[in-house]
Amino acid sequence: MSAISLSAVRKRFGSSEIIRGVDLEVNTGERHALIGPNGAGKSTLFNLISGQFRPTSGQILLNGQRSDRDPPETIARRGLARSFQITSLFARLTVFETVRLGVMANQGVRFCFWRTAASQREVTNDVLALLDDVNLSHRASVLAAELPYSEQRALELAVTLALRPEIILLDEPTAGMSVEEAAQTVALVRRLTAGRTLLVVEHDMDVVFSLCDRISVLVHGQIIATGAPDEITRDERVNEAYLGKGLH
Amino acid sequence: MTYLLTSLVNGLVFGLLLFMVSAGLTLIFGMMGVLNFAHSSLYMLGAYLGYSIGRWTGFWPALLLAPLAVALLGAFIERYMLRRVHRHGHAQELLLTFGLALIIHEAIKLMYGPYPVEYAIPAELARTAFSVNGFNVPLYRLFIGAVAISMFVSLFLLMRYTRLGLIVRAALSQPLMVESLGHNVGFVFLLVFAIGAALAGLAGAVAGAFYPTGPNMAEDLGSIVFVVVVVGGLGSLEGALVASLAIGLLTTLTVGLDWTLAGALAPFGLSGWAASIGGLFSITLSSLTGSLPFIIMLFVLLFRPAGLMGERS
Amino acid sequence: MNRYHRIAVCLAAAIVLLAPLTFSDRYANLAIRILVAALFATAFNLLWRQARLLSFGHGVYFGAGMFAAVHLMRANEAGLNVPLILVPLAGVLSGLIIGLLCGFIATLRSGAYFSMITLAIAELIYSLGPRWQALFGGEAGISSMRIPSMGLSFAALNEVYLIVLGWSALGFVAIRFFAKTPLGQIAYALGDNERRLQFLGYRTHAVKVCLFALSAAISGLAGGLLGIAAENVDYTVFGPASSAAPVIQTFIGGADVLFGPAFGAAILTGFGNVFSDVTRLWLLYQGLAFVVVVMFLPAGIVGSLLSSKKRPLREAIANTLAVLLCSASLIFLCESASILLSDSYASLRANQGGSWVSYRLFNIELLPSSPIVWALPLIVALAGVLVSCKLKRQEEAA
Repeated sequence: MSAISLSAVRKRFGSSEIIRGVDLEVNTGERHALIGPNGAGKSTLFNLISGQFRPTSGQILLNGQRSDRDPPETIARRGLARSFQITSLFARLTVFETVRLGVMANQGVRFCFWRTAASQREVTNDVLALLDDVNLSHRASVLAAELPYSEQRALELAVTLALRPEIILLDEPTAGMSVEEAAQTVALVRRLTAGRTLLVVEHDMDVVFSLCDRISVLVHGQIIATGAPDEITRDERVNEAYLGKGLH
Repeated sequence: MTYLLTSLVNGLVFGLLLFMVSAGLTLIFGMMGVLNFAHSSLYMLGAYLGYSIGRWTGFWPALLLAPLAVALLGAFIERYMLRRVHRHGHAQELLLTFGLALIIHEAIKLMYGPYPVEYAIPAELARTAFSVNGFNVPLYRLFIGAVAISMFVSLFLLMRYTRLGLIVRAALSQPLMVESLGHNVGFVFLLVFAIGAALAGLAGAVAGAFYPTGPNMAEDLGSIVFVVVVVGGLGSLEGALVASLAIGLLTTLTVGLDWTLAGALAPFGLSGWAASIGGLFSITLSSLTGSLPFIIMLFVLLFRPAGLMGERS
Repeated sequence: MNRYHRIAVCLAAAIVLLAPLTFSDRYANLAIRILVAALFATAFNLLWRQARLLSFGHGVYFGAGMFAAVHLMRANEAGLNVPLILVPLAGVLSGLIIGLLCGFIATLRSGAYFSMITLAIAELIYSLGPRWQALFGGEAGISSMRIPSMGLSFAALNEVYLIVLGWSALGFVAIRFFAKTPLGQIAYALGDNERRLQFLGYRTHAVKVCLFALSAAISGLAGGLLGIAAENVDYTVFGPASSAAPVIQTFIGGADVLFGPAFGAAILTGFGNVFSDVTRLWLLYQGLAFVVVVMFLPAGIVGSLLSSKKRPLREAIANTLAVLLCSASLIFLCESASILLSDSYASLRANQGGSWVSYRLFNIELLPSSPIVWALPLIVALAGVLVSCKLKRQEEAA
């Protein structure tokens, strides 16, 4: 069964159509990359899958269930989590409190107003474990807004994974990172998303090749090719549109 | 029938007056995202200034000078106060205009005392225009309407057919883009705020001679203007016109209607029973006149927050 | 703050809070009003501090609580024997119920739209007030009397103060505790990034409704407390002044600081009580202070004090002096203007043949035609502003 299934999805903003009929199947447990030139519509596609936008036409299925009419909260509860290209965190919260939000959501501790959050042992333990995973334990009481860029991305990842989602959408997780940092992030992602479905938007081809099983290429709102990495690099249309002729 | 006719004329004129005040407010919100709480205070200021300047220069020059003075104040507020607070966020801008409304209100009470002033219609306009079945329609009401209509027409032409209007309309949706195209968006903001203030001031100067010019002016009109702007659509001049006329007509027409819910049940023979319960059933429509605008506004905010013709959400 | 500081502060607070038990009725009344205002402002601030929502119509929930309390007291007079100490509960419940209803509607939108809905609801209730005779008592309002219970007669206000103090403390503790609960943490994050919370699976509308209901409930509590103290209430409690008060007090005190709103409420209520007898310009001064704070002290008075600990004492004193002198001269100018523009002065002038007669201000005889009377305050005010600006520029450069 496919984890994410898009059929004939179109999205129009005013008079411009950004997504022009996309069919995409991401299998359960697969690591799938979405690449394409700037302006192709990758972030829009993410927004459509995660519920921020509703498709103008077409349908989106998550684990076989129709999801294109659902608000983001409902989709998140179904087991889909996404990270953001531009770090989207909480300015007034510390690292610990930020990850705790994700853990609370996962453990269903939402409308509890009769106990303090600090007294929830299981929550605290989970948060500490996650911080450990992303190497942010030593920064637990720092305000998220004061972290350097790479640590913010790590926090972004931690919050996303705190939901223990089955389907993970990562939007340019290594953007702005040095080669070394990117490699570390890739290792982290591979370890923490083992066994789950991953859909990644990336520009860094090294990251794509080392992390993903299959690649889809989005150009001008349409998927022009889908397949294993070596198929894609040999594909002529992809080379013309995106990778540049004569590469690899 | 005569009630209907006179109510129609009065309602239309009141609606046009509402439009004069709300036009500036909706433009300012549409462009700058600032809900100017002080707008109705500027209206009140226009009335009082019209009165004071008028005592010195006569009615007609005052009609020009009072809005100008209010415009200058508006420019000052935008340039030295709003802009400064802008970087702290929209909420601080709201709070600033809220505080300014208080200050203008109290300053006026300081200068003129807590009682209304005798701002009178000039002799040339103090005649009846025409009579309908014994009810006289004062010329001044038509004058108010005329000023409002000519104001709408000139605004419309300005926005639609001049270069400035084009820039303003562009800045309404994409201020950053307009700035990067080389236009001085800061100056445009200043101009829009000043023009909005001038409109409110003009409305005050014109209306103050007819309606009582007193310290409660701003409160009475202020809340209804908010309703107009929300119902019409924040940022839409046409919407503000439609909403002003609608609300002006509605409030004027219902003022004299003593319909009750109990009366409405008469065709079903239940009016006696309903009247005996009292409470909600015997509240007359006329007593709800003051509340109607807010009920409408609540509905619009809940079901169509963009208003009749607004775009921003 | 080390342990000794903490003990000292607690002791001082205890003395300040328990002192009114010995006051006469007049000052006990003031103390009650200060506590009520502080609780109300803190409840209002809950919405802003957590979810960044500005409610301009909070007077509705305060008023609901006040009416509920007075109605319950009337029922007590008719035979229902609810002890006075439990009457404020009616305020809590009425605030909660109306808060749930109005909050559900208001939080469907956010930002300026939210503020406008709260304003519209308040205006609506205010306009209905004088019509609904049974509930609001029309123009005159409704009144009642405190019935003795638990061995106390509650005729004197300092006994009522005990109840007010107790319930206020409960209210403050409840707000503080809420901030630490999971729901409170979620509400806090709401103000920063509602979108992200949705992507984490939270139903943010429901959270906002809960927050609003709590804020309204505590506002209702504050209203109920004032109700038992004042023993009467009319529909003007739903008016614009009621809703404006917590806004002004909160932001002057400091909106993001724990005791900021309470501080603002305390000084403004206290000063207001004293000044409104002395001058009719109190509302103008309040408005001016509010605008100055919004423009130059966005963190409020308490917020600015807490964050400028690094400033040398000398500069802080200089700044405070500058501000005080400036305010004093402006007050002088405004009061003079008020006298000179009044009708009584105009008739005094007319009696003296139109010449500029001297007037009395702060027990000094002043001649309006003398240039010193105007030049001196203006120069002082200007000097104060310049000094303040210079100090601020120095601080920003550092």
